[in-house]
Amino acid sequence: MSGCNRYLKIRSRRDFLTQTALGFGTLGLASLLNPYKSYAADASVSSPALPHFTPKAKRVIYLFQNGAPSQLELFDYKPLLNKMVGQELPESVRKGQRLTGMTAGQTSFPLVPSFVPFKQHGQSGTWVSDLFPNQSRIVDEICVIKTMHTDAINHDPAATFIQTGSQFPGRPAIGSWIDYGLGSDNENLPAFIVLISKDRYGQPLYSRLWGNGFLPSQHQGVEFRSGKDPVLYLNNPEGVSHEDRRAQLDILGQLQQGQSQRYNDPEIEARIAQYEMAFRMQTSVPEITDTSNEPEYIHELYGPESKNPGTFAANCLLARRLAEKGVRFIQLYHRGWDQHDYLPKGIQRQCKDTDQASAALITDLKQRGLLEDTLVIWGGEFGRTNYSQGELTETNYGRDHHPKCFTIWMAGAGVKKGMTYGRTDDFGYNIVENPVHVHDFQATLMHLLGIDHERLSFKYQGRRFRLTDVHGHVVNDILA
Amino acid sequence: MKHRGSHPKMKIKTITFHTVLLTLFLVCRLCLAGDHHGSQVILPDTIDFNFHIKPILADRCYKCHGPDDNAREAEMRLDQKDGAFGDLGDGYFPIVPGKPEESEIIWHIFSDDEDDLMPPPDSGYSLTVSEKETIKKWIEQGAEWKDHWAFVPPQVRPSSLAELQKKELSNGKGENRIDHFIVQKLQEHELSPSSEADKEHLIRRLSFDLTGLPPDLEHIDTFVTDDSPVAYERLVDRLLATDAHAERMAMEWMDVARYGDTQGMHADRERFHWPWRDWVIKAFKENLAYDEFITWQLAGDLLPNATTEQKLATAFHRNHPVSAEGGIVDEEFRVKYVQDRTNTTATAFMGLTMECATCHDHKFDPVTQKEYYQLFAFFNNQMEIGMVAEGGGSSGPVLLLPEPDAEKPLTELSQEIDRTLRQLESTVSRIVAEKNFIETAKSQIVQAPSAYAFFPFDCVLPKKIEVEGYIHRVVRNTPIDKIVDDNPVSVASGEPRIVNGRIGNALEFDKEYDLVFLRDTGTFEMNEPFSAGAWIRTDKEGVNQSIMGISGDLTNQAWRGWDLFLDTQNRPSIRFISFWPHNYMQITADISIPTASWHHILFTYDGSGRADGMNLYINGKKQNCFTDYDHLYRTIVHPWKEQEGWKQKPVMVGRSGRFYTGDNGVFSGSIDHLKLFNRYLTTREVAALYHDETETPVNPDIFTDEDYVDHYLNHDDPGAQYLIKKLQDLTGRKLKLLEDVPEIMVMEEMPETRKTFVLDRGQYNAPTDEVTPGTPEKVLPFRDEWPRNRLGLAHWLVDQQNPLTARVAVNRYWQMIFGRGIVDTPEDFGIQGALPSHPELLDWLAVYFMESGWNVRDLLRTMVTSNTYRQTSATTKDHWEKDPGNIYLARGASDRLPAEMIRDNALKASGLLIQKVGGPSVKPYQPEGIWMKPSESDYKQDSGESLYRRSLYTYIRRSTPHPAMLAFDAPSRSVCVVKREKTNTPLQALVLLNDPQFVESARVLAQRMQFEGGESVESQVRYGFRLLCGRSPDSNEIRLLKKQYEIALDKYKSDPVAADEILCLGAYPFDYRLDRFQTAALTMVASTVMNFDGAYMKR
Repeated sequence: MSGCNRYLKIRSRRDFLTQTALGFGTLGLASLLNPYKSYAADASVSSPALPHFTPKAKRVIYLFQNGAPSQLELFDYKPLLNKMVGQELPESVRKGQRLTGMTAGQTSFPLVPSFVPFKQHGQSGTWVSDLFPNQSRIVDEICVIKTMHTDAINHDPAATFIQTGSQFPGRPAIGSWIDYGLGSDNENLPAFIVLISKDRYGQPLYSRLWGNGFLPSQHQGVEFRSGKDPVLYLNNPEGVSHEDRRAQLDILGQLQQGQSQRYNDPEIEARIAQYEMAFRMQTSVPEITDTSNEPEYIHELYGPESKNPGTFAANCLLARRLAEKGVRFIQLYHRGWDQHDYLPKGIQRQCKDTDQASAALITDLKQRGLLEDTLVIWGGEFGRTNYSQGELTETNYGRDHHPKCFTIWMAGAGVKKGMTYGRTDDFGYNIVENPVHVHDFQATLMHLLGIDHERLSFKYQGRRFRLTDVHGHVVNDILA
Repeated sequence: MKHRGSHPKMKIKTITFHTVLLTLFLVCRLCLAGDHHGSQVILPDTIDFNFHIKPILADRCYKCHGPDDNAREAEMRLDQKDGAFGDLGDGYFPIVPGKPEESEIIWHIFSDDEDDLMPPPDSGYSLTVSEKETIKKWIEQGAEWKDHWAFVPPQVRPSSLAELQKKELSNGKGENRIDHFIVQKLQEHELSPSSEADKEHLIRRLSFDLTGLPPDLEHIDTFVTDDSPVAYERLVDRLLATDAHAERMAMEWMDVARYGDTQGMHADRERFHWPWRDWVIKAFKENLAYDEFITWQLAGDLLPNATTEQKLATAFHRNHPVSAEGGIVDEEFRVKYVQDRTNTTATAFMGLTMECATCHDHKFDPVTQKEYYQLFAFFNNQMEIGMVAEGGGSSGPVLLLPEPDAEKPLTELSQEIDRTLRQLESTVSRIVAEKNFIETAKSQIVQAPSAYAFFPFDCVLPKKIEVEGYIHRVVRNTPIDKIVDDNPVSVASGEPRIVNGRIGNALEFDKEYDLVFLRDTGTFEMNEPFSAGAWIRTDKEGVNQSIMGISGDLTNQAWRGWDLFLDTQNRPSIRFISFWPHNYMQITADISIPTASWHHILFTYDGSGRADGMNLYINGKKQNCFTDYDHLYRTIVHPWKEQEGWKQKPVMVGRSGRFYTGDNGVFSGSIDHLKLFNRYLTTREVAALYHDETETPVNPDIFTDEDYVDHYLNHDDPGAQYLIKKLQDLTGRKLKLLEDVPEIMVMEEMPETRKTFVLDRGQYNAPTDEVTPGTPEKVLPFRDEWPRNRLGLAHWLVDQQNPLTARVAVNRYWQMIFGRGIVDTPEDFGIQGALPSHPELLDWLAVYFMESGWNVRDLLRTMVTSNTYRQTSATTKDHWEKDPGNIYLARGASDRLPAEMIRDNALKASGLLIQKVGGPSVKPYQPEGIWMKPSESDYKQDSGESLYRRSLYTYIRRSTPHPAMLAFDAPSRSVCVVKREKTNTPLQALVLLNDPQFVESARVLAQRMQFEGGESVESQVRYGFRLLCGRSPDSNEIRLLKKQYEIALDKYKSDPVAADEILCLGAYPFDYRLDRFQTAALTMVASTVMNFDGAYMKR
């Protein structure tokens, strides 16, 4: 009997437990195993029936731009700044709002416009700067939100906030919440996968950004890496072949069966299933991460770097492949957007890295019909100041952190196309219309997946925790 | 909101009618939705408030009708007896005992009107049928109200005691007091206990529980063949006395204490903290009483005549993560650190979720927001800052931890310094005693001192100077493109303007990038005397202004260096910093300088390392100064690495640092004639300098007798000069010795108490009412005789009347031994927490624990010698059906081993394990690229013994902990964790199958099997199996493993390259005396067993 058939047999016998242990439908397991608590203290208030309502999105691809890209050079066009270049940021605009410890001591806050021109694009007439020639061409597919704002003013807390709903370590990542709530649509791949651009540095990344926090650890994001071991510990050691492993697992399975009889513990059966899942991952993961069999026109779409595994372009292509396989939450990270100084030079390099592939992902998903039920998000952790950090010269300036407004875009499942949402003031400093707080963004993301953000909770240390804490409103205006 | 409804009589009717309807409707709904309460409409005979009612009220009602005054709706309060039974007005009562039909809450929870129904249908808090019926039945039965069980001090019922005493008399063997309580519950649930596990299982289970390691085979054999009636007790005592036991206990405490080897946030660099971990091991080894264990960690420094060890213990509350991210708002983070201490104290010792009261009164437990900040106040009095230094920096209160052999010379040096100081003092006395000395001195003429470096600031010339690196980061986009005074040492950025100066020209600074760098000059050590000054003129007031200095932050090195500045009141101030904010000295003049006029500001320093060795002068006259801080004991030389030809960190003139908190900001005004002196200047010399530069005569009236003595000592008395020089040399030697002495972060009170305020919404910048230290009143009143500091808090915690501390502790240890706490929410004993499965047992254990003198070892001994513990863990159908979670313990506990033990088991079985206690954390195998760049934080794998230490010692980088440990549910140690998740995932399978740590262990075990396991393959396999699983394999297991062996042997014989590959894996060499193919095949066998339930499970 081949290993796979054997596995199917076990599965049908122990379907429920196996599924549970694989991470689908995990809500309710705790009470099943712990009837004592369930009498009242742990009675589940949040509906275990997930999704709570019909989802628009089945999966998410989140292109996280770590370090905080400047909205003022990319999407939020402010012609007034061109007129006022070098003039002081009026106190009537700043209104004494706090600055980072890095510019709080500056005595001068000279306004600085974008060094690149902006144009309107597409039927929607969306403003995009010349730094994003490719994304300019997909503006009619995306919804640009110009009025994101956050509570945090520095990278670590801000990235932790937008990714976990709290500025400080310890909470589950968005992807972990989604995995916990919805589970996986693919039995051979994890539901929450993380891809990080290689060789691009800047602000640090931490595994806690895709960590499970207080949720069970099967909900932590699994990093897919470029190189020979695409998932940690995936490869058999040298000298052990796939066939050797199969034979070993067959014997191990029989040993486990004996142990199961000895102790009558259903956990052992669940463990056997995990080994089979691991075995299947050994085949499925290298298959999915090998993009060399993609046709040439696809590589051309994503750009030449898409053939170089681990680059942002290659990760975008891989994200599309994972989406095709039903992976629930695909989290990309691209670093290097922290342009405190030498902004013109720095941001051009970043745009070159990311523009084509970001646009290609949308185009590619669309041509496959996947954009219908895939939500794509592009954005960083906060915005950048409209005044120069460091001296403003003819050709050079920098921008400090700015939590009061920043731009992200969303595209695909359930989001209005060709829309620009929210308005900042003419200085690009404060929001004047339709603010979207980080918690609102998270609530909207969950809503698109069919989750009521107020009802997906996890009881930990005596309190029901949610991704959105006690905040968050779905931004209905951007829903298609 | 409409609450008080219709006429009471109508209500009765409505209730009856609707109850029927609702029940019908809900039963249907339940059938459809599979609501798991559907089958529980059978209610307990007696409804208990604490066990049945309070959990419902707390979960569904207290959010709006609980302790939070600000959230309360309809003035109805159901968490207090007065509120629940009190008159709501107009003769309505929430609860009328015995009369559900007259009880408002019954009316609301059964209402079919959406407006009346409670909880509101859209709240998501709706009650199930069984919950409603339970409340109704409770009211019918008389609605007996009880205080929350956990806030009533634990008591042992007299009846229980009597029975226990009888038991002890009648039962000489086996059964102990724990069993009494367990059996009672089993009977209630119609369960019967299991038989005792066999001895192989027992010793393995016991060894893991008490030591975290598997038993040695010899120990198994000894135990199995030991027929003595006390064989088991003997084993327990032997294990409890081992180092491994202390390590196992420390392992548990590390999660609670959120111990990590790194700072925890942002770049997350290393911190020196492991000596505290070693102290914990030592404390367990010595079986330090738990009340002292707590007291030392919370307040060891405040104990009378505190020892180094007691101070070290307080590092517990410096374990929390900190951030070194440049530019963070300092106070925001400092407050977070204090909140972490507060929350950890509550979770670890009190089992309370105080954290919930950070922003508002607790929604469920009787803890107000004010009480939260009262507890916070205990931990708010440390000399610390929010933004700590990068890399190895122990900041805030620290404890020097010299190695024993470094301690002696340090003490000797300190003694010699004291002796020399006394000699100098007697020299001074001798001189002063000399008649006519002053008169002679007065007649001497003192020359103006010549500068070691002089910057007249007369002209600025453009000159391109290429700099990037840190220097560049100070000026951001502004180039450093000017040269001052045609002197390559002084270069400038921005546009400092040439203006009329006090002497010739001066430089005017009016923008933040106008600043002058003095290269390769001005770096002095703290034992070197030096002085510096300049003419300044400013228009600014109200903020600090840096005149010149070296300490401003460029590289986040805790502001090391010196800094002359004007404070917010334009008073000159000088500070020398080794490590901000705990290791520095500073004095400030008690007079402000007027704006818009020229003043000469100068400081002198005598190299003594003391604040009284610093002086400040305004216009040539020594000023009265106050000492801001006087605790400098290490180097003030910045660890600058040469960059782009800048050999030392430059002196910055006109600004300091990068605007970080702690930097003295931008100088606004003009600076002229800046001079540095590489020696101490006496008052007379400074006067001479001033009058030389102003071309006016010296007025001798400004000098005191002391000034004459001082000048004489420094210039004319060879004996005194010798002693001064000697003191400087001795200090230099001491600095040298201290270079390698590490410091660990500990708790220490500031001399002046920092005020604590309630923080609105928990925000650092929203203080409201001032509070003083205090504890939650409802738990236990704080006695007057206790000090209102951390020591008093410790007294409060370990008081016999504190209802929580002992219960929380015994519950955690119960969880450690039995896999599940008596209270299954060890972090929450509050109203929202789980109820104890065995309340009487919990109380008995708590009382017993306290009465035993908080003896942890005795407590564990009592647990593991119970019959309950010794039962077999095999599950019968009956057990599984009645109690799948094994809450009532009709069978022994079984559990997947924690991450650390799974690895340690493999290492021990292979013989690789190095059992050395303590020391720095180690870096075993870890896949490449886990620690993401920046490259300073590359993972440098250890070699040799360090690859094989117990997992307790594995280095924990909190932002990226070891992935194999994470896979097995080890926490990241960012927050206090008292209960680990237990998951089962494919990643765990991949770790056990493929992690080099396990593959190497399998291969080395394969070698050991051949050396020690006998001649035949069967006996070798049997041997390996026993080493990993602690029992002999049965015939089927042997058959399967031999089959594995045959398959693998065939393969490796036909593929020798593959055999060589697997034999080369890992750092431990293959022993070429052994057959390659057999070893490779046995490696596969060992790997199979490592992945087998018997190896990673405690059964």
